[in-house]
Amino acid sequence: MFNFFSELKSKIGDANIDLYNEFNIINVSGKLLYVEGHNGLTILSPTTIAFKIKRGRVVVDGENMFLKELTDNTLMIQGKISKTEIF
Amino acid sequence: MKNRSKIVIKGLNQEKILNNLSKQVKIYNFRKNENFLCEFEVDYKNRKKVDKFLTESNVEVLSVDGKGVLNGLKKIFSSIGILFGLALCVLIYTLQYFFVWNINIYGLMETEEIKTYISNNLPSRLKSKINIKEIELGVRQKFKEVSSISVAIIGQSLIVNINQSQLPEELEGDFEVLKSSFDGQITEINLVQGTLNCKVGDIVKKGDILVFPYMVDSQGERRDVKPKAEIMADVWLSETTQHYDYFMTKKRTGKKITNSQIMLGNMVVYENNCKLEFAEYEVEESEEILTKNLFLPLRIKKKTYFETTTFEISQPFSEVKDEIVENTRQKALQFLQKNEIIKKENFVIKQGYNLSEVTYTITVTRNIGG
Repeated sequence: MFNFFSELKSKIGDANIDLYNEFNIINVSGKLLYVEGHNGLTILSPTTIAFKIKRGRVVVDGENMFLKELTDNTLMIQGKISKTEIF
Repeated sequence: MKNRSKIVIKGLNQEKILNNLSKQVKIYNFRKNENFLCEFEVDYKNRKKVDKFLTESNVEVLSVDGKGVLNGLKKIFSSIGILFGLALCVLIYTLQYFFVWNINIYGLMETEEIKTYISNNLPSRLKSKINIKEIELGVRQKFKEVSSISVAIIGQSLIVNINQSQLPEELEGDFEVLKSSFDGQITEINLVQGTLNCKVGDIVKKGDILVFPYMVDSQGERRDVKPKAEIMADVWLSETTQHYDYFMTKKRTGKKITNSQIMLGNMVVYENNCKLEFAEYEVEESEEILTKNLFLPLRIKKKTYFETTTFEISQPFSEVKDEIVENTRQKALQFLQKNEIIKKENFVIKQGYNLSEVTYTITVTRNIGG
Protein backbone atom coordinates (compact mmCIF):
# COMPACT_ATOMS: atom_id res chain seq x y z
CA MET A 1 0.00 0.00 0.00
CA PHE A 2 1.26 3.50 -0.79
CA ASN A 3 2.57 5.38 2.23
CA PHE A 4 3.13 9.07 1.73
CA PHE A 5 5.84 9.44 4.39
CA SER A 6 7.71 6.25 3.32
CA GLU A 7 7.75 7.58 -0.22
CA LEU A 8 9.03 10.94 0.99
CA LYS A 9 11.79 9.30 3.07
CA SER A 10 12.94 7.25 0.10
CA LYS A 11 13.22 10.40 -2.01
CA ILE A 12 15.14 12.42 0.60
CA GLY A 13 17.40 9.57 1.58
CA ASP A 14 18.83 8.30 4.88
CA ALA A 15 21.30 11.19 5.21
CA ASN A 16 18.45 13.53 6.20
CA ILE A 17 16.61 11.09 8.45
CA ASP A 18 16.48 13.67 11.29
CA LEU A 19 14.02 15.68 9.21
CA TYR A 20 11.09 13.39 9.81
CA ASN A 21 11.59 11.90 13.27
CA GLU A 22 9.80 14.67 15.18
CA PHE A 23 6.43 15.49 13.61
CA ASN A 24 4.78 15.54 10.19
CA ILE A 25 1.86 17.69 9.07
CA ILE A 26 -0.04 17.39 5.79
CA ASN A 27 -2.56 19.98 4.73
CA VAL A 28 -4.96 18.63 2.12
CA SER A 29 -6.57 21.42 0.13
CA GLY A 30 -6.93 23.58 3.21
CA LYS A 31 -9.76 21.34 4.34
CA LEU A 32 -8.02 18.48 6.08
CA LEU A 33 -4.95 18.51 8.27
CA TYR A 34 -3.22 15.29 9.16
CA VAL A 35 -0.66 15.34 11.99
CA GLU A 36 1.79 12.64 13.01
CA GLY A 37 3.86 12.92 16.19
CA HIS A 38 1.75 15.25 18.36
CA ASN A 39 2.19 15.22 22.13
CA GLY A 40 -1.31 16.19 23.21
CA LEU A 41 -4.11 18.54 22.31
CA THR A 42 -3.99 21.85 24.17
CA ILE A 43 -6.88 23.84 22.65
CA LEU A 44 -10.00 22.64 20.86
CA SER A 45 -12.54 25.05 19.41
CA PRO A 46 -14.17 25.52 15.96
CA THR A 47 -11.78 28.40 15.20
CA THR A 48 -8.56 27.32 16.96
CA ILE A 49 -7.00 23.95 17.50
CA ALA A 50 -3.59 23.71 19.15
CA PHE A 51 -1.38 20.79 20.03
CA LYS A 52 2.05 20.14 21.49
CA ILE A 53 4.92 18.72 19.50
CA LYS A 54 8.43 17.76 20.58
CA ARG A 55 10.20 21.13 21.20
CA GLY A 56 7.17 23.36 20.53
CA ARG A 57 3.51 23.93 19.84
CA VAL A 58 1.39 24.15 16.70
CA VAL A 59 -1.67 26.41 16.41
CA VAL A 60 -4.16 25.86 13.62
CA ASP A 61 -6.61 28.67 12.82
CA GLY A 62 -9.68 28.26 10.70
CA GLU A 63 -13.46 27.99 10.67
CA ASN A 64 -15.85 25.17 11.53
CA MET A 65 -12.97 22.91 12.43
CA PHE A 66 -13.47 19.64 14.26
CA LEU A 67 -11.50 16.56 15.17
CA LYS A 68 -11.98 13.81 12.70
CA GLU A 69 -9.65 11.39 14.41
CA LEU A 70 -7.44 11.39 17.46
CA THR A 71 -4.98 8.75 18.61
CA ASP A 72 -1.96 8.80 20.91
CA ASN A 73 0.30 10.37 18.29
CA THR A 74 -1.86 11.22 15.26
CA LEU A 75 -4.77 13.55 14.71
CA MET A 76 -6.89 14.67 11.82
CA ILE A 77 -8.61 18.05 11.67
CA GLN A 78 -11.37 18.77 9.21
CA GLY A 79 -12.80 22.19 8.38
CA LYS A 80 -11.72 25.36 6.64
CA ILE A 81 -8.04 25.68 7.59
CA SER A 82 -6.64 29.15 7.06
CA LYS A 83 -3.35 29.12 9.00
CA THR A 84 -0.96 26.65 10.61
CA GLU A 85 1.74 28.16 12.80
CA ILE A 86 4.58 26.51 14.67
CA PHE A 87 5.85 28.13 17.86
CA MET B 1 -2.52 29.81 37.53
CA LYS B 2 -5.48 29.85 35.18
CA ASN B 3 -8.92 29.14 36.60
CA ARG B 4 -9.94 25.94 34.91
CA SER B 5 -11.85 22.75 35.68
CA LYS B 6 -10.31 19.42 34.82
CA ILE B 7 -12.93 16.88 33.76
CA VAL B 8 -12.41 13.14 33.28
CA ILE B 9 -15.03 11.33 31.18
CA LYS B 10 -15.53 7.79 30.01
CA GLY B 11 -17.20 6.82 26.76
CA LEU B 12 -16.91 5.84 23.12
CA ASN B 13 -16.53 8.24 20.23
CA GLN B 14 -14.85 10.89 22.32
CA GLU B 15 -13.91 12.96 19.24
CA LYS B 16 -17.60 13.49 18.44
CA ILE B 17 -18.42 14.51 22.00
CA LEU B 18 -15.51 16.92 22.11
CA ASN B 19 -16.23 18.37 18.68
CA ASN B 20 -19.78 19.13 19.76
CA LEU B 21 -18.60 20.51 23.08
CA SER B 22 -15.92 22.63 21.41
CA LYS B 23 -18.66 24.44 19.45
CA GLN B 24 -19.89 25.83 22.78
CA VAL B 25 -16.73 26.22 24.86
CA LYS B 26 -13.00 26.18 24.35
CA ILE B 27 -11.34 22.92 25.38
CA TYR B 28 -7.81 22.82 26.74
CA ASN B 29 -5.21 20.12 27.34
CA PHE B 30 -7.13 17.20 26.00
CA ARG B 31 -5.60 13.81 26.77
CA LYS B 32 -6.80 10.38 25.80
CA ASN B 33 -6.16 7.63 28.32
CA GLU B 34 -6.66 3.92 28.19
CA ASN B 35 -10.02 2.16 28.69
CA PHE B 36 -12.04 4.86 26.90
CA LEU B 37 -11.07 7.45 29.42
CA CYS B 38 -10.14 10.98 28.49
CA GLU B 39 -9.48 14.18 30.38
CA PHE B 40 -9.68 17.82 29.37
CA GLU B 41 -9.87 21.27 30.86
CA VAL B 42 -12.44 24.03 30.40
CA ASP B 43 -12.58 27.58 31.69
CA TYR B 44 -14.08 27.88 35.15
CA LYS B 45 -16.74 30.29 33.86
CA ASN B 46 -17.97 27.65 31.35
CA ARG B 47 -18.29 24.90 33.91
CA LYS B 48 -22.11 24.97 34.13
CA LYS B 49 -22.44 24.93 30.35
CA VAL B 50 -20.14 21.89 30.16
CA ASP B 51 -22.00 20.08 32.95
CA LYS B 52 -25.26 20.63 31.12
CA PHE B 53 -23.83 19.44 27.81
CA LEU B 54 -22.30 16.30 29.31
CA THR B 55 -25.56 15.47 31.12
CA GLU B 56 -27.60 15.93 27.96
CA SER B 57 -25.13 13.82 25.95
CA ASN B 58 -25.32 11.01 28.56
CA VAL B 59 -21.56 11.04 29.04
CA GLU B 60 -20.22 9.41 32.16
CA VAL B 61 -18.27 12.00 34.10
CA LEU B 62 -15.74 10.30 36.37
CA SER B 63 -14.28 13.30 38.13
CA VAL B 64 -14.24 17.07 38.11
CA ASP B 65 -11.33 18.85 39.68
CA GLY B 66 -10.66 22.56 39.99
CA LYS B 67 -7.45 24.48 39.29
CA GLY B 68 -6.59 28.09 40.03
CA VAL B 69 -7.45 30.73 42.59
CA LEU B 70 -11.20 30.80 41.98
CA ASN B 71 -11.49 27.05 42.46
CA GLY B 72 -9.42 27.28 45.62
CA LEU B 73 -11.67 30.00 46.98
CA LYS B 74 -14.75 28.02 46.05
CA LYS B 75 -13.41 25.02 47.95
CA ILE B 76 -12.74 27.17 50.98
CA PHE B 77 -16.10 28.84 50.95
CA SER B 78 -17.96 25.60 50.39
CA SER B 79 -16.36 23.96 53.43
CA ILE B 80 -18.53 24.42 56.52
CA GLY B 81 -15.63 23.71 58.87
CA ILE B 82 -13.39 26.38 57.36
CA LEU B 83 -16.26 28.85 57.18
CA PHE B 84 -17.10 28.23 60.81
CA GLY B 85 -13.42 28.62 61.76
CA LEU B 86 -13.16 31.88 59.82
CA ALA B 87 -16.34 33.22 61.39
CA LEU B 88 -15.07 32.25 64.84
CA CYS B 89 -11.73 33.98 64.18
CA VAL B 90 -13.45 37.14 63.00
CA LEU B 91 -15.73 37.06 66.04
CA ILE B 92 -12.84 36.53 68.49
CA TYR B 93 -10.76 39.22 66.79
CA THR B 94 -13.66 41.68 66.86
CA LEU B 95 -14.44 40.97 70.50
CA GLN B 96 -10.85 41.16 71.71
CA TYR B 97 -10.38 44.45 69.87
CA PHE B 98 -12.52 46.16 72.51
CA PHE B 99 -10.31 45.01 75.41
CA VAL B 100 -6.89 45.94 76.77
CA TRP B 101 -4.72 42.87 77.22
CA ASN B 102 -1.25 44.27 77.95
CA ILE B 103 0.12 47.01 80.13
CA ASN B 104 3.51 48.20 78.88
CA ILE B 105 5.43 50.64 81.01
CA TYR B 106 8.38 52.59 79.68
CA GLY B 107 10.66 54.65 81.90
CA LEU B 108 13.96 54.48 83.72
CA MET B 109 12.67 53.26 87.06
CA GLU B 110 11.52 49.89 88.31
CA THR B 111 8.16 49.49 86.63
CA GLU B 112 6.72 46.25 88.05
CA GLU B 113 5.15 47.97 91.07
CA ILE B 114 3.42 50.57 88.90
CA LYS B 115 2.24 47.87 86.52
CA THR B 116 0.65 45.94 89.40
CA TYR B 117 -0.95 49.13 90.73
CA ILE B 118 -2.49 50.03 87.33
CA SER B 119 -3.60 46.46 86.76
CA ASN B 120 -5.34 46.28 90.13
CA ASN B 121 -6.99 49.68 89.73
CA LEU B 122 -8.41 49.28 86.24
CA PRO B 123 -12.21 49.36 86.52
CA SER B 124 -12.47 46.94 83.60
CA ARG B 125 -10.41 45.64 80.73
CA LEU B 126 -12.97 47.12 78.34
CA LYS B 127 -11.38 50.04 76.49
CA SER B 128 -14.46 52.23 76.75
CA LYS B 129 -14.46 51.99 80.57
CA ILE B 130 -10.82 52.94 81.04
CA ASN B 131 -10.25 56.56 82.05
CA ILE B 132 -6.72 57.53 81.07
CA LYS B 133 -6.73 60.76 83.11
CA GLU B 134 -7.66 58.85 86.27
CA ILE B 135 -4.77 56.42 85.76
CA GLU B 136 -2.30 59.28 85.26
CA LEU B 137 -3.54 61.07 88.38
CA GLY B 138 -3.57 57.89 90.46
CA VAL B 139 0.01 56.93 89.55
CA ARG B 140 1.30 60.47 90.21
CA GLN B 141 -0.33 60.54 93.65
CA LYS B 142 0.74 57.04 94.62
CA PHE B 143 4.34 57.18 93.41
CA LYS B 144 6.21 60.31 94.46
CA GLU B 145 9.20 59.46 92.31
CA VAL B 146 7.09 59.88 89.16
CA SER B 147 7.55 63.40 87.81
CA SER B 148 5.43 63.04 84.68
CA ILE B 149 3.31 60.32 83.13
CA SER B 150 1.39 59.84 79.91
CA VAL B 151 -1.00 56.97 79.25
CA ALA B 152 -2.41 55.90 75.88
CA ILE B 153 -4.32 52.93 74.54
CA ILE B 154 -2.71 51.59 71.37
CA GLY B 155 -4.22 48.48 69.89
CA GLN B 156 -4.77 46.06 72.76
CA SER B 157 -2.05 47.61 74.92
CA LEU B 158 -2.10 50.29 77.57
CA ILE B 159 1.12 52.21 77.03
CA VAL B 160 2.43 54.11 80.04
CA ASN B 161 5.39 56.46 79.69
CA ILE B 162 7.00 57.57 82.91
CA ASN B 163 9.67 60.12 83.74
CA GLN B 164 11.48 59.66 86.99
CA SER B 165 11.98 62.69 89.18
CA GLN B 166 15.55 63.52 90.23
CA LEU B 167 15.87 63.79 94.01
CA PRO B 168 18.74 65.73 95.59
CA GLU B 169 21.50 63.47 96.90
CA GLU B 170 20.65 64.25 100.52
CA LEU B 171 17.14 62.93 100.01
CA GLU B 172 18.15 59.80 98.23
CA GLY B 173 18.51 58.05 101.58
CA ASP B 174 20.77 55.02 101.92
CA PHE B 175 24.40 55.62 101.05
CA GLU B 176 27.04 52.97 100.59
CA VAL B 177 30.42 53.10 102.32
CA LEU B 178 33.44 53.92 100.15
CA LYS B 179 35.54 50.79 99.75
CA SER B 180 39.04 50.26 98.45
CA SER B 181 39.12 49.04 94.89
CA PHE B 182 42.73 47.71 95.05
CA ASP B 183 45.30 46.31 97.49
CA GLY B 184 47.89 48.97 98.38
CA GLN B 185 49.54 51.34 100.86
CA ILE B 186 47.88 54.74 101.31
CA THR B 187 50.14 57.69 100.46
CA GLU B 188 47.74 60.67 100.34
CA ILE B 189 44.15 61.44 101.41
CA ASN B 190 41.89 64.29 100.19
CA LEU B 191 38.51 63.88 101.95
CA VAL B 192 35.56 65.73 100.38
CA GLN B 193 32.71 64.41 102.55
CA GLY B 194 32.13 61.48 104.90
CA THR B 195 34.14 60.08 107.82
CA LEU B 196 37.56 58.54 107.23
CA ASN B 197 38.33 54.98 108.31
CA CYS B 198 42.00 55.00 107.25
CA LYS B 199 45.16 57.13 107.45
CA VAL B 200 48.30 57.71 105.39
CA GLY B 201 50.65 54.71 105.64
CA ASP B 202 47.88 52.14 106.19
CA ILE B 203 48.03 48.99 104.10
CA VAL B 204 44.56 48.17 102.81
CA LYS B 205 43.09 45.26 100.90
CA LYS B 206 40.54 45.40 98.12
CA GLY B 207 37.09 45.80 99.74
CA ASP B 208 38.29 47.42 102.98
CA ILE B 209 36.19 50.39 104.14
CA LEU B 210 37.93 53.71 103.47
CA VAL B 211 35.19 56.31 104.19
CA PHE B 212 31.89 55.97 106.12
CA PRO B 213 28.75 57.61 104.63
CA TYR B 214 28.07 60.11 107.40
CA MET B 215 29.38 63.32 108.96
CA VAL B 216 29.11 64.68 112.47
CA ASP B 217 28.23 68.38 112.39
CA SER B 218 29.19 71.10 114.85
CA GLN B 219 26.19 70.27 117.08
CA GLY B 220 27.42 66.69 117.35
CA GLU B 221 24.59 65.35 115.19
CA ARG B 222 25.24 62.62 112.69
CA ARG B 223 24.14 63.41 109.12
CA ASP B 224 24.09 60.92 106.21
CA VAL B 225 26.11 61.97 103.16
CA LYS B 226 27.44 60.31 100.08
CA PRO B 227 31.12 59.54 100.84
CA LYS B 228 33.58 61.28 98.51
CA ALA B 229 37.37 61.21 98.76
CA GLU B 230 40.51 61.00 96.66
CA ILE B 231 42.69 58.38 98.34
CA MET B 232 46.00 57.77 96.62
CA ALA B 233 47.94 54.59 97.37
CA ASP B 234 50.91 52.62 96.14
CA VAL B 235 49.36 49.68 94.37
CA TRP B 236 51.39 46.53 93.67
CA LEU B 237 50.76 44.76 90.41
CA SER B 238 52.29 41.27 90.62
CA GLU B 239 52.62 38.32 88.30
CA THR B 240 54.24 34.95 89.02
CA THR B 241 55.75 32.37 86.65
CA GLN B 242 56.84 28.87 87.61
CA HIS B 243 59.61 26.97 85.85
CA TYR B 244 60.42 23.25 86.15
CA ASP B 245 64.00 22.27 85.25
CA TYR B 246 62.82 18.84 84.23
CA PHE B 247 59.33 17.72 83.22
CA MET B 248 57.40 15.33 80.99
CA THR B 249 55.08 16.53 78.26
CA LYS B 250 52.64 14.87 75.88
CA LYS B 251 52.39 15.64 72.16
CA ARG B 252 49.96 14.38 69.51
CA THR B 253 51.62 12.45 66.66
CA GLY B 254 48.92 13.34 64.10
CA LYS B 255 47.45 9.84 63.87
CA LYS B 256 43.83 9.45 64.92
CA ILE B 257 40.96 6.98 64.88
CA THR B 258 37.31 8.05 64.89
CA ASN B 259 34.51 5.77 66.02
CA SER B 260 30.99 6.99 65.36
CA GLN B 261 27.47 6.03 66.25
CA ILE B 262 24.29 7.26 64.53
CA MET B 263 21.48 7.41 67.05
CA LEU B 264 17.72 7.66 66.55
CA GLY B 265 16.65 9.03 69.91
CA ASN B 266 18.55 6.76 72.30
CA MET B 267 18.67 3.81 69.90
CA VAL B 268 21.89 3.07 67.96
CA VAL B 269 21.02 2.62 64.25
CA TYR B 270 24.58 2.48 62.90
CA GLU B 271 27.92 1.95 64.58
CA ASN B 272 31.47 2.16 63.28
CA ASN B 273 34.08 0.68 65.62
CA CYS B 274 37.73 0.63 64.53
CA LYS B 275 40.32 -1.32 66.48
CA LEU B 276 42.38 0.91 68.75
CA GLU B 277 46.09 0.19 68.38
CA PHE B 278 47.62 3.25 70.05
CA ALA B 279 49.73 2.69 73.14
CA GLU B 280 49.14 6.25 74.36
CA TYR B 281 46.21 8.39 73.34
CA GLU B 282 43.87 11.25 74.18
CA VAL B 283 40.10 11.06 73.62
CA GLU B 284 37.74 13.77 72.38
CA GLU B 285 33.99 13.22 72.19
CA SER B 286 31.44 15.21 70.21
CA GLU B 287 27.76 14.99 69.39
CA GLU B 288 25.95 16.57 66.46
CA ILE B 289 22.29 16.67 65.45
CA LEU B 290 21.83 15.48 61.87
CA THR B 291 18.21 16.50 61.29
CA LYS B 292 16.46 19.68 62.21
CA ASN B 293 13.00 18.16 62.68
CA LEU B 294 11.45 16.21 65.51
CA PHE B 295 10.10 13.43 63.31
CA LEU B 296 13.51 11.80 62.86
CA PRO B 297 15.74 12.92 65.75
CA LEU B 298 18.96 11.56 64.23
CA ARG B 299 22.25 12.51 65.82
CA ILE B 300 25.83 11.38 65.42
CA LYS B 301 28.16 10.67 68.32
CA LYS B 302 31.87 10.75 67.52
CA LYS B 303 34.73 9.52 69.69
CA THR B 304 38.15 10.48 68.35
CA TYR B 305 41.35 8.88 69.68
CA PHE B 306 44.52 10.93 69.07
CA GLU B 307 47.83 9.07 69.36
CA THR B 308 50.29 10.76 71.69
CA THR B 309 53.93 10.38 72.66
CA THR B 310 55.57 11.51 75.87
CA PHE B 311 58.75 13.62 75.84
CA GLU B 312 61.18 14.48 78.57
CA ILE B 313 62.16 18.12 78.63
CA SER B 314 65.19 19.25 80.58
CA GLN B 315 65.99 22.96 80.74
CA PRO B 316 67.95 24.42 83.69
CA PHE B 317 66.54 27.67 85.10
CA SER B 318 69.88 29.46 84.76
CA GLU B 319 69.68 29.11 80.94
CA VAL B 320 66.27 30.75 80.62
CA LYS B 321 66.25 33.05 83.64
CA ASP B 322 66.33 36.36 81.72
CA GLU B 323 63.64 35.22 79.32
CA ILE B 324 61.32 34.10 82.15
CA VAL B 325 61.85 37.35 84.08
CA GLU B 326 61.04 39.41 80.99
CA ASN B 327 57.94 37.31 80.22
CA THR B 328 56.71 37.73 83.79
CA ARG B 329 57.30 41.49 83.56
CA GLN B 330 55.27 41.69 80.36
CA LYS B 331 52.43 39.84 82.06
CA ALA B 332 52.55 42.25 85.03
CA LEU B 333 52.56 45.27 82.66
CA GLN B 334 49.17 44.18 81.33
CA PHE B 335 47.61 45.27 84.65
CA LEU B 336 48.66 48.91 84.06
CA GLN B 337 45.92 51.40 83.31
CA LYS B 338 46.12 53.93 80.49
CA ASN B 339 48.83 56.61 80.97
CA GLU B 340 49.80 55.23 84.39
CA ILE B 341 53.34 55.99 85.57
CA ILE B 342 55.47 53.18 87.00
CA LYS B 343 56.87 54.20 90.38
CA LYS B 344 59.03 51.16 91.05
CA GLU B 345 59.54 47.65 89.73
CA ASN B 346 61.35 44.62 91.15
CA PHE B 347 61.34 40.85 91.04
CA VAL B 348 61.95 37.97 93.46
CA ILE B 349 63.17 34.51 92.54
CA LYS B 350 62.37 31.54 94.81
CA GLN B 351 64.18 28.32 94.04
CA GLY B 352 63.48 24.82 95.27
CA TYR B 353 64.19 21.29 94.06
CA ASN B 354 63.44 21.24 90.28
CA LEU B 355 61.14 24.31 90.63
CA SER B 356 61.89 28.05 90.31
CA GLU B 357 59.31 30.77 90.81
CA VAL B 358 59.67 34.34 89.54
CA THR B 359 57.41 37.03 91.03
CA TYR B 360 57.57 40.41 89.28
CA THR B 361 56.03 43.41 91.04
CA ILE B 362 55.30 46.84 89.55
CA THR B 363 54.39 49.66 91.92
CA VAL B 364 52.12 52.47 90.72
CA THR B 365 50.22 55.27 92.45
CA ARG B 366 46.50 54.93 91.99
CA ASN B 367 43.29 56.45 93.41
CA ILE B 368 41.76 53.55 95.32
CA GLY B 369 38.79 55.54 96.59
CA GLY B 370 36.87 55.34 93.28
